[in-house]
Amino acid sequence: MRPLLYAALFSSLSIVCIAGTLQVSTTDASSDVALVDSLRHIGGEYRWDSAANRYLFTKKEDMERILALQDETTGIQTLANCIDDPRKSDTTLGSKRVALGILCYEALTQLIYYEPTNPNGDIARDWIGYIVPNASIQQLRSAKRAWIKVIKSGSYKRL
Amino acid sequence: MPSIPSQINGVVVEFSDDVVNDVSQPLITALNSCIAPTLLDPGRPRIFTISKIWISSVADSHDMPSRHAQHKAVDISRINGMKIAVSYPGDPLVKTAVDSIQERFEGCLFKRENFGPHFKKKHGAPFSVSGHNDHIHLSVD
Repeated sequence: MRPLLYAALFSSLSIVCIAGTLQVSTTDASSDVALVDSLRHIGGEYRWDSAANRYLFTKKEDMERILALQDETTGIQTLANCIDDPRKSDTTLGSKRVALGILCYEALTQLIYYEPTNPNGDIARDWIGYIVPNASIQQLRSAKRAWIKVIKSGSYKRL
Repeated sequence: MPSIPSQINGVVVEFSDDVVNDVSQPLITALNSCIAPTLLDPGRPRIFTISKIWISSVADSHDMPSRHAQHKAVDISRINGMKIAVSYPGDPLVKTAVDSIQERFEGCLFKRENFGPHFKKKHGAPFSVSGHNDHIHLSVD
């Protein structure tokens, strides 16, 4: 019952979003919904790793298995489109459930990366497409726009 | 301009489909000194065998003046078929290999950027830069 509910909800959301915001087009709506739904319920948590000096997601391997079921190109587009999805996921950071968009970003950056460049040719210190698991919805929206631009330009690399 | 060979010190070098792998000689020299086929596990008395690395980018998908476009940068994103994005720091072999590559690169004469999950340094000094927890980016002057 729940997947059908999500399918209906996500389809209607997609129509609204496409009319109002930047999207990259995908070809298989049911596959999109299944991928996003899987990420929403993957569980696990973000734990601070002091040696790595960053949050680490505990279910990277499970995420990899989910991604392996997808057509990579479609998956990339789907994941970029849902970076700003504010719905709560089953994944936690401390006592809070993180936004689904965080999982979409986590999955996207398990498939591809992008290197912003300075005018001198070196890697730029920062890029708006990089976010942390406790990013605000505004940061998620900005990151989504940045990734969609990168995907449309084809300037990303596969990991 | 020379190409990155398909083997370095006995380690197979695999390339992403669209990689243009012509690079400057100092970068090849640096890779030769960074890539080792066997590594000692710093945590336990055992030896890891590094059979292959995956190069995701050299002089491709980047516009000038990027050091990639200048043929002076290389990205490594997999060790023995395992993605750094997934297996670092959890997998001891991947962690040991990544740490080793980054530390050995620091001994290279023409080193410039050395960004990866182990550390981020530019010209040998710690450098704050986002990303690069999913691959190693090495560049030379």
